[in-house]
Amino acid sequence: MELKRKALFNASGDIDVRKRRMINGNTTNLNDFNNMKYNWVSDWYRQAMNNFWIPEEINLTQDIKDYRLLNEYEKTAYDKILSFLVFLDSLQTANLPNVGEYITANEINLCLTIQAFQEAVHSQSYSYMLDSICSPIERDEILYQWKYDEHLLKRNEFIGEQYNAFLEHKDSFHFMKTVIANYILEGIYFYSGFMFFYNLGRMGKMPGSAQEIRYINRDENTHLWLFRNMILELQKEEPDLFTPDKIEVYRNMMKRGVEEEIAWGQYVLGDRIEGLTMKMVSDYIHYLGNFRAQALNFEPLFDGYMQEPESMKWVSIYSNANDIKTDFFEARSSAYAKSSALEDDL
Amino acid sequence: MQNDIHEYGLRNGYLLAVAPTSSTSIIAGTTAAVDPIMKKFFMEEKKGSMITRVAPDLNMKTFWLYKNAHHIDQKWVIEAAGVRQRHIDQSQSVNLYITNEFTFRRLLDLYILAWEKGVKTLYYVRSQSLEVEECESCSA
Repeated sequence: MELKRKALFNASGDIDVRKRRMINGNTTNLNDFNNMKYNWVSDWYRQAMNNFWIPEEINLTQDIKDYRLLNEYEKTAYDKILSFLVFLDSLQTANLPNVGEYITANEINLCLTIQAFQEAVHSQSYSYMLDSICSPIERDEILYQWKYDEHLLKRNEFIGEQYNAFLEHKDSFHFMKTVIANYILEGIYFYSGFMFFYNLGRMGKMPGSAQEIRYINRDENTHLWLFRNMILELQKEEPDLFTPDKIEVYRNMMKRGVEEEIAWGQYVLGDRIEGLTMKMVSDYIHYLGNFRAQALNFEPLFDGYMQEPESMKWVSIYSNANDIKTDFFEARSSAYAKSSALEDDL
Repeated sequence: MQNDIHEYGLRNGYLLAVAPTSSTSIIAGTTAAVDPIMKKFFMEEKKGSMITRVAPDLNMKTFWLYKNAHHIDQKWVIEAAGVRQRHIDQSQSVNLYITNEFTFRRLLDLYILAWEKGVKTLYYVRSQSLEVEECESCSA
């Protein structure tokens, strides 16, 4: 199906919000904050802007000491997962503009630009972590593992191929597959990485890294929310992209994502990390897959796995800023909104 | 002694403070000073560690007696601090817990009320990270 590239300077574009469409619309590119078709964007925008943070504000001195004390398995997993996350966030920074080029609703373009900015901050935050805890030689070695570790490379290929396919085939089906790949990346891939850092945190190790991840996680939640809403709007506007056979394609992509994720967990974590067993990882990723599928109104991917596994409930507690009370003297609180989030009625 | 104090004064100006403060309360298994609990169950983050915290003696009977700090009308927090203050010569560690529905004026009113009630100082204002309804279904 045809997919029209977004016009740039387009004085004859549609102003009427009723004519606004996610794709194949006729946008003027004016960022009009008052007339939005997708009302949830104003909440999203407010939240994304208020989540602003700077990686260097988090203190990593404890991590410098802890990193040397990690056992061999923890250290290997730490390096590989970090390498994986740096690469994913970098790829996101590069790919989001490709998606945006075909989105013809200015308010959504706005969100994608903010998301791309945040992904850039995330990739820099990992650099800051590496710069703090290890030598430049170790750092470069870790940064490029995604290229030289065959498991890690294979791991990234699935999403990378979907993104590349859209560059070669600019049609609406490939566009949708890129959007779904993005959703898998944000909603499934990131989480297994996050969970490892939270586990270190709950074992009392690498607290600064766990804190960085909590900030990143807070952003990723909003990104996931953005893509979920985009997909739900597309379901209304472009039913042809959601015929039963196409939905099956998307579900199979998600299934594959879950399987790859578990295989990766087996490789990088195995049963070697204190506090995590493969059963916990596998149960959790299966559950995530089902949860993500249902959030898009798709049938669950796997039988069972409908509840968050008891053994993994701590993951969501670590990821929810408002469940954590931070000592202001001793660590950096993520349970805040910028003061501008409050209405100034004085 | 009252007469002696009247005549000679006191060596120490401050005799009474509210204990326990945050870290001490964790060790003692109770809640911090005069603050309400943040939640019935939450994580407390200190330097280099996070620990799970549960409201003391939480059971079926006490469950409804605990109110989350952010759900309490903060005017009562200040009223109570005002009543307490005249018996405590140090200032109290009184924190305000606000939601993002607060406006600047409501916050200012709390400070003015604290002054009117004779509260010596207020400590932190703990706000919350924005959460939008649908986010419930995003975060796993």
